[in-house]
Amino acid sequence: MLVAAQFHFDLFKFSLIQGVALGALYGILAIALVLTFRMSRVVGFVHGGIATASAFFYWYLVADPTLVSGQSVGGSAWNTHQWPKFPAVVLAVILGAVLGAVFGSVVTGRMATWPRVTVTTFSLGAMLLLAGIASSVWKSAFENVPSPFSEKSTHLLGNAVRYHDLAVVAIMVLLVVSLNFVLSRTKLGTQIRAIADDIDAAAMVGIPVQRISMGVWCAAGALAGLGGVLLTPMTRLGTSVILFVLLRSTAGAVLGGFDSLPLALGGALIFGQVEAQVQGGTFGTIGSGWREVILMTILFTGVILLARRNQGRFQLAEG
Amino acid sequence: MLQKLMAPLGKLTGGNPMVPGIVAFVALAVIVPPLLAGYWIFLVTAGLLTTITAFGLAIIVGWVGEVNLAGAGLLGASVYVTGYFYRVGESRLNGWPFIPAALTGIIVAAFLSGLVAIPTARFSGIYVMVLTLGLQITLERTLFSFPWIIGGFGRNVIVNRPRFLGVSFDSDLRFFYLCLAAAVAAGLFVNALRNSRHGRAMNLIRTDKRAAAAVGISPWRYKILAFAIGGGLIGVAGAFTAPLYRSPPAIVQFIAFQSLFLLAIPVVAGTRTLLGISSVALSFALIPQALESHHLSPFLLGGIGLIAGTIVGPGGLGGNLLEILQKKKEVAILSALGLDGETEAEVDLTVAPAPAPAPATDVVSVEGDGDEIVLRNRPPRLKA
Repeated sequence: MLVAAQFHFDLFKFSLIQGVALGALYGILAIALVLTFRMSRVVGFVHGGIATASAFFYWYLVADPTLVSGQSVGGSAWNTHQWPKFPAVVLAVILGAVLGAVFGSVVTGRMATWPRVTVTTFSLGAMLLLAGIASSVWKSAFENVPSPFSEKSTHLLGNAVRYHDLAVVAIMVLLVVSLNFVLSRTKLGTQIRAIADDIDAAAMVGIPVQRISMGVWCAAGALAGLGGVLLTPMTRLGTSVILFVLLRSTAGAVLGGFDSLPLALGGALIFGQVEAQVQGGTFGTIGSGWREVILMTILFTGVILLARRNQGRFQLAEG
Repeated sequence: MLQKLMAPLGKLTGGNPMVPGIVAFVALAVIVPPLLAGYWIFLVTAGLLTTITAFGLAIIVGWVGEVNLAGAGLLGASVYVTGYFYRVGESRLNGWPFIPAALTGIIVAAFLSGLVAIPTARFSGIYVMVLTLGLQITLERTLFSFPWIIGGFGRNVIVNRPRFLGVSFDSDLRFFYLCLAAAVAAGLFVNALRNSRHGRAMNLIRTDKRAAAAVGISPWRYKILAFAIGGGLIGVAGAFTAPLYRSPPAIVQFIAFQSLFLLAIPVVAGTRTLLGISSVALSFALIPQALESHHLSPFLLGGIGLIAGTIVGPGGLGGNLLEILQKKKEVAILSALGLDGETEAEVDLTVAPAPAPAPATDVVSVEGDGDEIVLRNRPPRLKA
């Protein structure tokens, strides 16, 4: 009753678009998490590190040195390059793919039979290491990062919307459609699904499990790199914000049961919408603390439901 | 060499391998600080508080085998809650004596840690990671964003060093000794807990949940207990951290990445020796200072630590070192007995002199230090 009495339709319309853009961003990382979870039954926290490294690398390539505040290095200008943005995006995504492939080769090779909690802890270590390397090499934080698309805005549903936000939504839709096509209509997709369902049976029928798994990790790394590049123009350069977004994406993946791309995307969009609507004031003024409590309640509920569903399924694999 | 030096002490302490370590640690800590400059005493004090935090995490990570990604959040919660009640008054809720304020901070940390364990205790592994990371981010976005609690954002808040029974701990050296006492007390508590039936039950849960359930140990209850005790110890570290800086520390010290950094300590050190955890914790408190002087992120150390700790296995580097020392000792004894050709399996030197045969109906009790669980026939101590 209280919520209904405080409902503001104008703010709802405005926040709707913001929420879709935010959800799309969470969705890109959620897709990476689901893909790698299906391959290795590991929560790919390393994607947070990959996103961080790619974001810092992209910023280093494209930022205007005269606009760099150098806040974290004593105010001195940092020697960034003013490269064209699209080649920089491609290079940042390639960096993500390489990092994903390297990590995937370890996880699917030596660690293939390790308990998944141990491998997930390894993944956390890799994330921390990558974040440490990125912030040690580029020594920057809180910098503004230019969008690869445009800094301008357009009007949609009577509200100003950045082209960057629209591009993020378009990229996510493109990704989902192409991934769905690959997974459901191609031989590679069938092999990936076979590995996800039963890795031993897949190996027994001659599917090159390690090669395909590594390929999936590589693709997921590229997605994480892209996610990092798309995220920082919406926020700012920094390690904390990327981990924060990774948690949102993980929450989306949790709501999607960690094994369904459309559901993970749905989960990410729900999170994006709830966050944008609450933040935008659709239901009245709600403090940022309460917003977090609401989102965490959703996450806790999702985890409990998922854990109950998977309790029997993964019991033996628990480390 | 170290073993030879420690041997007489070991005899005095009934062969308990922990006590010589703690005595050596205390002796070292008491002798060294007067030789250090004030800044280094401050850093070593911070290292002692990191040690207490690592003890708390070791119970959760090492004993019940769960990964807690909210370590820094819990630490920060205790720091700010203790600091809020203890600091020089702005409102009537400020200005409490140190002990009640610290207890409040400790209870808050233990409660939050236990709370997150309730839904996750029945499901292990990755779900716990996700939820504890959720708790961490929630704390960052809620508790740590209230200026009236954290005392930040331009407020000139003073948190004095405590004073007990007329003794002031205002100087860095005196506060160091207070934190040292707290660290030793925490170590003795953890050691006693590990050797108690509750500690053995927690270790058994990590090793084999089904076996634990079969002998009447509830993994759910013990996981919640481990999280609450671990959170409480982190809370103790937080309570002493509150007056360390004389003003509330910045929230950047308690962000999610810091949780990963803290998690690396028990992962690297293993949980078999508290001395190992203390050494790694002190190193993790001091090395970042050296790294920062070279403009390197402290996360590098945490990342390398987590990766190395994962690769060497659940025993950690400390556990592996102990194994090497143990094997050397066994080889030396075997050669002294002229049994060089015997395999390790044939001669078990770790088992105490055999007690009288136990009745067949005895419940098998569980003993272990860290990773190795030793089953011995003893009168039942764990209720079925």
